[in-house]
Amino acid sequence: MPPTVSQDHSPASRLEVIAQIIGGEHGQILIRQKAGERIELGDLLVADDPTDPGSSMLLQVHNLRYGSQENDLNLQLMSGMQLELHEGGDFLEPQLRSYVLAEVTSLLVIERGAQGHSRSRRPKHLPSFFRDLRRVRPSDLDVLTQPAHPVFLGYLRSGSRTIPQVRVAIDGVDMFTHHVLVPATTGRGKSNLMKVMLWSTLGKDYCGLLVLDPHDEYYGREGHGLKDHPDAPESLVYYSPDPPRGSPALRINLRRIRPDHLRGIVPMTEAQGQAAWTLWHHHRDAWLAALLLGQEEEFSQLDIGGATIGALRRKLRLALGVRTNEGQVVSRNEVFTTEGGDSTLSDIVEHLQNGRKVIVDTSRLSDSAELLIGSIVAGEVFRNYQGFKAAGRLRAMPVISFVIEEAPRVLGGGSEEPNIFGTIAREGRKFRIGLVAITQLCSLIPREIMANLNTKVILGNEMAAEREAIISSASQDLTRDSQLIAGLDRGEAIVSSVFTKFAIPIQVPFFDELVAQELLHRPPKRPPAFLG
Amino acid sequence: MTTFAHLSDLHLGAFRDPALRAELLARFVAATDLILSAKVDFVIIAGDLFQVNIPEIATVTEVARQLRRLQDAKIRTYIIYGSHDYSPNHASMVDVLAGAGLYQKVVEGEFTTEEGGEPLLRLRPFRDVPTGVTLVGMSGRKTTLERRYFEHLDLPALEQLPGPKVFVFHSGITELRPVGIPESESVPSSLFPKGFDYYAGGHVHQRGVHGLHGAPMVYPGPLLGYDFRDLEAGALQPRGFYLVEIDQGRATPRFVPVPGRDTVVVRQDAEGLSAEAAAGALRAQLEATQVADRIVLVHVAGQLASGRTSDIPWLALQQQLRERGAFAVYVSRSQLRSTIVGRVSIGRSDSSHIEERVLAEYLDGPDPPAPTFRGDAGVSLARQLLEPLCAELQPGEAVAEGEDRKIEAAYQLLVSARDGAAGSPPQQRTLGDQETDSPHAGDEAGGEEE
Repeated sequence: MPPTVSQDHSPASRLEVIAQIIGGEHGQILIRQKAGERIELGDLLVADDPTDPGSSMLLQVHNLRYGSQENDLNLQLMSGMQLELHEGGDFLEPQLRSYVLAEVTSLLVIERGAQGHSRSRRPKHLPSFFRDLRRVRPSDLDVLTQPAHPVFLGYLRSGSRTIPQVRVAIDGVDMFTHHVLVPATTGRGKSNLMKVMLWSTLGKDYCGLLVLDPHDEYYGREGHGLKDHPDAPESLVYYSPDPPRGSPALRINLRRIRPDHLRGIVPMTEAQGQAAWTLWHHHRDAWLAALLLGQEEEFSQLDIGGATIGALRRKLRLALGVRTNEGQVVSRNEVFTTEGGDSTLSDIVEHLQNGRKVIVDTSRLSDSAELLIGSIVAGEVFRNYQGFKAAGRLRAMPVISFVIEEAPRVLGGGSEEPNIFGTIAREGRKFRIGLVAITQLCSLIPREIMANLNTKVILGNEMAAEREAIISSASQDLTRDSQLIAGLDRGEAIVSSVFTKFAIPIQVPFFDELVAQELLHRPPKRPPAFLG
Repeated sequence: MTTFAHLSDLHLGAFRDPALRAELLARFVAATDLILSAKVDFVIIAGDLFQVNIPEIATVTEVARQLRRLQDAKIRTYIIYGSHDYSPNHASMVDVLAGAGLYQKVVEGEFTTEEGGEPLLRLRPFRDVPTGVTLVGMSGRKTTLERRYFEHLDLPALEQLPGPKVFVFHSGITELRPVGIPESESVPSSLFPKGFDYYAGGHVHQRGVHGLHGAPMVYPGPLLGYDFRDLEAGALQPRGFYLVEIDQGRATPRFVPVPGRDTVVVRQDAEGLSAEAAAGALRAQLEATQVADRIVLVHVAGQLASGRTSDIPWLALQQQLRERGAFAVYVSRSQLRSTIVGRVSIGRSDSSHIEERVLAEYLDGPDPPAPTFRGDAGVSLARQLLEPLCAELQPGEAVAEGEDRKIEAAYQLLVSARDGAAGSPPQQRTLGDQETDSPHAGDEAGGEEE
């Protein structure tokens, strides 16, 4: 969070006061809203300490309710007088009689020294009774430091009010290696958030990111996308079966697929797995062609049953999108092929290890094919990084993260066989490799893995079971935030991370506006001279 | 029906060994004979006709003679620059022969920029009038700098050209690239125009017929090549060119092998052997090999357990092969290592003195890089080279231009040093001659011993 705001640390003036502390307990402080003000759920408020001008406490609203000096019967009578007799029916000054009470939680104690040094800590005391509260100022949060490798997530949000002066960012090295979860239901701005996040990593070679994009929505084939970033030519690589000009086609030679790549991706019986390995031992990298095109006698000689081969063929044809015709393997989607595509997977690995961002358009692929590509690349990177660690070179390498949509496909507990993504979720941090898991159904992800996803960018979610799964594994105590999460509008989010001092409410900017700003300032391109 | 011959990567003038140079020219003559007998309509040379932009006169004379034979037979020849004979200022022998009317260079274009739009490169189409075939060419440049041009190509304009049409280029294609060649040194297929009947490729030395946008895309590969790996590959796979027939919008390529001398490869794994044992094993292998009138390739690799690489009597072994009638001998020992490593120790902290001592001790060590760098003159040359190679970019200079300038300056120093040492007339080279633009997969340059 960059301290790019005015350095106004003066105590609250009377005009700024919007509420006062009137009771409660630690973790659930009760405040009364000043008449004429409007406090919202999620609002960030500040209680300055009048006895110590450098000290203040940041609080957040979690619940709102009514308070009144009248008992219920009187209130009912007054309402009747207004509704039926059209009389005022007030027994007291209205602003004194009825008001709004809010339950707030203290988030942070901020202490500023005389030299301008400031620090923050978790609150362990209650602010004094009748302490005035004001709205948060941008300058209150300059105590939070700018990370070395900021990944911009959005602007600070107080209730529904955006504070654009405070950009919320987390250090990319920390965040990516400790895994990220983006839980969201459809239409809550998940892909917008991802684009905003990825945008701030382009041109930065401290991290390599592989984005498996089943909706082909990140590159910006139509409209704005990551391709519009000024550093995209050097920093972004886009693979697609039908690439736009300048991008390489997604072609993967069948020779590059080994039986172990299919582990946890294409479910196989023991007999099918053994058949695959037998073919590998006999044909090495031509094993898939041998499987798809081989004759029955050959399989018999290898002691592989016809039924096993038939089932294995069906599974792999379906997964890879291939068929056979006149002794040739024909690719339906032109991705898995027998001609070319020898270097695609190693290219992707190299791009990632050079800190580039790679988007793979998997919109035309089956689930299995998409995960197979990710799995091969992730496995290769994992092995390489294990080697770098053993050689003492790991620190010099960029961190690498894999962005996976519908993450329970690979992180869910249903799979009998482990896969590389589960391994990364558990052990990747040691090797500077992480996951960005995007899902609507995080309740399907085992608790052990959920606990390892140390940054959660929580978008709106109406499903109580999903909210429960998120809250129970969050880095901060969000037990009172369930309704807050349910009520998050499109683009509103809460960032809960071991790398933030509290769960930060943010407003994710519209990606298109971000790009439009960028394009506005881009100088026109000059043509090079043609020396033919 | 139209028939044409498609050649590329001839690298005429390559090899310091006169025998290999002669063999290369002989294969070009043989190819010309085959083309003449096939009665083709025209010939396409998809780059790297010459090994360098200014080759030696004897080579040019013979090439001109063969091109004239084609011309006399009413066979038109169309050509583009390759990465080896390219010259940014048209100072290449390719241009001289084009100027003499021996062939037509089919690369012309200009950039246009519409208001607020991307710059567009409009390539000029050339028409082979007798057949009606349209040719559009894109030259190759060192380290695939032509990719920048591809990125700006006005593809719709090319795709709207009437057929039949042939796209001539000298670049590797990203998706067909073998593992080991950097992606940056290739052009993705999405940058190529669609709708051409044939894509006549060059630069990739591995012969092959591929598909691009539904049409054949062909790399003929060299007739002999220009280095050890080319010769080695030629021992396994026939070299030649393609005869292509275009009939009703369908192009059918057919490979035509070009006859040449046989090549035999002798490999010696020296891993763990002493220099003496390695020499003995190699000698025994060579003695058991038929070498008469053959090109003999000797590849020695591995880490010697003891002794220096120079303890192996290379010259004597080669001499013996020649005495047994070998047509040419080519030794690659770039992957042979010695365990003897010179220790460099320096006592003063003055930077120029340290530089000089380090260079002197290294160049005097067990494995000096080349004779040019031996002795005081070698140290002096190495120090001179540091100056241009470490030079900063000049104001307004692009990185690529700066690199070209550095390489040019360094190259001139090397050429001067070599010519001064040998007392022989210089073989002219300018930018673009560097043999670092390898079309081979993951190979290191093979060493040549004479």
